[in-house]
Parts: sequence; C-alpha cells; structure tokens
Amino acid sequence: MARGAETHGMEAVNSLAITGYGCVTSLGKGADALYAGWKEGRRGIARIRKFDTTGMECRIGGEMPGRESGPGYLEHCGLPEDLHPDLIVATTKGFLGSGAEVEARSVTLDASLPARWLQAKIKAKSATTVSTACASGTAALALAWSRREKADVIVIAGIDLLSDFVFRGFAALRAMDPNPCRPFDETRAGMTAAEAAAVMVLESEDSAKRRGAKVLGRLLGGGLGCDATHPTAPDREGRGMATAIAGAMATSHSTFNDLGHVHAHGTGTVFNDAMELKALGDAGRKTPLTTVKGNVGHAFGASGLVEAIASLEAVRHGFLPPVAGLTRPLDNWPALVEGRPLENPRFLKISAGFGGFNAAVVMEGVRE
Amino acid sequence: VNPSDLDRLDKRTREAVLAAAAALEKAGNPKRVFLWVATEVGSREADIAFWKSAKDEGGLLASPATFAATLPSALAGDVARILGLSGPAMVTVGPIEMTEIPVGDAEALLLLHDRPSGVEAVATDLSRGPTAAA
Repeated sequence: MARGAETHGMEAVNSLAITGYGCVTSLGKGADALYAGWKEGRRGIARIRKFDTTGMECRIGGEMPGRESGPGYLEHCGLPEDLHPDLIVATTKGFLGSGAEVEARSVTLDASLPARWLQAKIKAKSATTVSTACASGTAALALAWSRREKADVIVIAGIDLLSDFVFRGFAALRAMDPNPCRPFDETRAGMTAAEAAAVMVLESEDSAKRRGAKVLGRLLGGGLGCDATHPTAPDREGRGMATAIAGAMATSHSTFNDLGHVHAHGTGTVFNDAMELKALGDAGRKTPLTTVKGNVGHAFGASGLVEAIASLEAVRHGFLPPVAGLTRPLDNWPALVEGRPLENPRFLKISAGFGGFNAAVVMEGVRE
Repeated sequence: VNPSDLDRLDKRTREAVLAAAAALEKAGNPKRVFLWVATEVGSREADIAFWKSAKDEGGLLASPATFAATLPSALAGDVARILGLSGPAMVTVGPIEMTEIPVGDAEALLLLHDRPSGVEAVATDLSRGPTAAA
C-alpha cells in the first residue's frame, strides 16, 4: 500500500500524517485505477450483474470487480501489518450482500462485523464502527482527527456492498437516475448506487518518522453537524453541512482562500447537490468543486474515504479531474466540467447522509 | 417534546427521545450539544421488516420509510430531529466508554446507550462533569 520509504520533511502539530491508502471501486482495484479512471473520464457504472433488476426503472450501478466477499475486497485494499493500530470502520450495512441474507437471519446483518473481522486480521488495539449513513466515511476521518493525541496509528476502513436489499430501498425512495448520475448538473436526476472498500493509515508525525514511512498527505481537521430536519431528505438550507464545514475549517485553521478544491458529496440527487452549494455559500463559490461519484457511483458509507483518496491522488499527480456527466453546472457554480492543473495541496472533503448527518474534513496531499 | 411527534414513533425510539429530553433538562438544557449514540441493537428487526416488503414484485411494494429505519443511525436521526439537536452528531455501533469520546468545543455531550434492554441517556455538562442520567 505505502509508496516509498522516506519521511517527508514538513512538520505539522495539529494533524495526522497519512502514510498509506488503498481501495477497490467500480473502476477497479487500487487507488491508481481510481485516479486513472477519473482522469480519463471513464465510468465504472454499468448494468448490474450481481442481482436481478428485471422490471426496475433503474438497472445500473457501480459494482466492484469480481465476486468476492466483503473481507476479500478489504484485503485488496492493502491491509497494514504489525502496526497494532486503533481501528475505525465506516459502514452503513457492514458485509450485508443480499436480501437473502436478511431472510436467513444471517450474521452479516450486524454492521459491526467488518470491525470485528478487521480487528482480528490486523491485530488492532481497539475497534470503533462509525455509522452515520452516507456521511460515515468522512465522519470516521473526523473522529480519527479528534483522537489524534491519543493514538500513534489509526487505521480507517470503509466498506459497503451493493445488494438487492439497498438497491430496492433506494428505488422505493425514487432516488436513483436510470442513467449514470450527473452530479451538480442542472438536469441531474438522481444517484447511482455503488459499492466500494477502502483503507487509510493515519499516524502521528513521530510514529511516521520512527517507522520511516513516507507521508502521502495530512488530515488537518474535521467537523460534524446534524440537520435535525428530516429522516431522508437534507436540510434545504444546508445548515447541518455548514456546521460541519465550519468545524473542519476552524480545527484546521483554514478558510476557503487556503483551499485548492472541494471534493463534494455530489450524489446527483436534486436536493443533495443544491444543499451542498447552499452550505458552501458565497465564500465557497470561488473554490473549484469536483467529485469522483460520476465515475464510480455512490458507495454509501465507504464513499467519503474513497473520495478523500481520489483527492489525495489528484494532488499527487497535480491534476484535478472534472465531474463525469456534468455539462451545465447548477447555479453557475465552479464545478469542474473539465479538469485543470492542481497546485494547491489543501482540500475540503464533505459528505452527507440520511438522518441529516453531515461531516467535513480538511486534508492536504503531497505532490509527487 | 411535541406529543404528536411521539405518537408516530416506535416504542424504542420514543423511549430514546424521552430519555434524551429528560437528561438534557436535568443538565439545564444546554445549547450546543454533541449527540453521540452508541447502538448495540442494530437494525435486525427493521432489516427483516423492510425485506418482507421489498423481496417480491421486483421491489415495487418496498416501504421507503422502513428502508430508512434499516440504517443503524436511524434512531439518532430521529432523536436529533425531534429534539432539534443541530450540533455535531456521531453514531457508533457497539459499546463505547465515555473516555473514548472526543467532544470538541460543544457545551454538553448527550450520550445515548441503545441496548437490547433499553435506552440510557447521559447528559454531561462539559464544564462540570456528568450531571444527569435517565
């Protein structure tokens, strides 16, 4: 997972160093596959093969390659060895892979199963499962930042599988576009359901130096906020998200002037995308906005971690890819229709979920 | 708490809302509350109920409301919405100790332990230590 073996020279006292990451998405295995697909404008979204969608209005999704189990996909993320970390797992439905498992009252119904499996696998000292719906991945990052003074090494994993169970749920909510999603487009018509697994290793600067681990980025701050308005729809004014963003900005001592880009949640639903722009507000309008969801779909609890990895890769390569499917940006926002060079390593990652849960983090990548 | 809000809730959620409201009241109704729900109950019952509605007819009869309830965070979302808790909010699955919870700059922490035996709420005024349990 980790690239290289040298310690990066910068000092940072309010942050956690990122020393490894990996993921599996509908664009393939590895962060390289994620970034290459994003940059080339490829979509991992296709007709669903895992389960029957006959008769359904939406029949597409973002499936991971192969037919592996949840643990199998996590192993492809490059699990760290011998670090004895504290573990945080972000998920909404754990390893749940089908409605049949629900009918069978299977053990896979337990959302804490990935954390228990991973804790044993990587010999983690502690394990916490974060489950704030589709904000889980970014909320796990915010939680890791909050625990920065108590832990040497924190491993965050994100996992959610695409199943007939969740697909039929989102179909019932009429939240899915029958065509690949178009985040932040004036004509957006819903999300594309997907699945992903992701792992990130974070540690204190001292720990990274001791191990001689190359620093791939830094987590600089995080914030959380709750809409407290509706079980499934976001607050139309984006107040919970604005609270989360304010928390991330304050803890990282950042303003929008310090950011090179925003990696939005960008599901492609009418209300989510409009909510995010409201929350970013006039101050956020000057910052380029993008998301990889148009390429990989929405992997629920894993999405925040996948998108943070995509942005770290964008900084590493010095080029910020655009939003796949976007041609006419909503509200004339500077959401990227075309990619552009990226010099500024600092970015804001935001995520939102059912129940009104919002999370935001400020991170920095390292240009290679 | 608005009684009409309570009427629409299932027994467990109603119990959680009332316990949370009581704990906050004993803590002096602090303004900036960090809501943390640690659920050990999960969503098994909602999962089964939703799939019962969704498994046939290609999902045409699937219940959107029951689907939302299949998320482990559903209880926390309901508590936040009904009590108007718009500050930071976190949901974890499994038991958790108070000492594991980072609270940031909130005035108070409202911790809900959602267990099979019932919901326990503890509101902590962060300047004075634990003040109330319900």
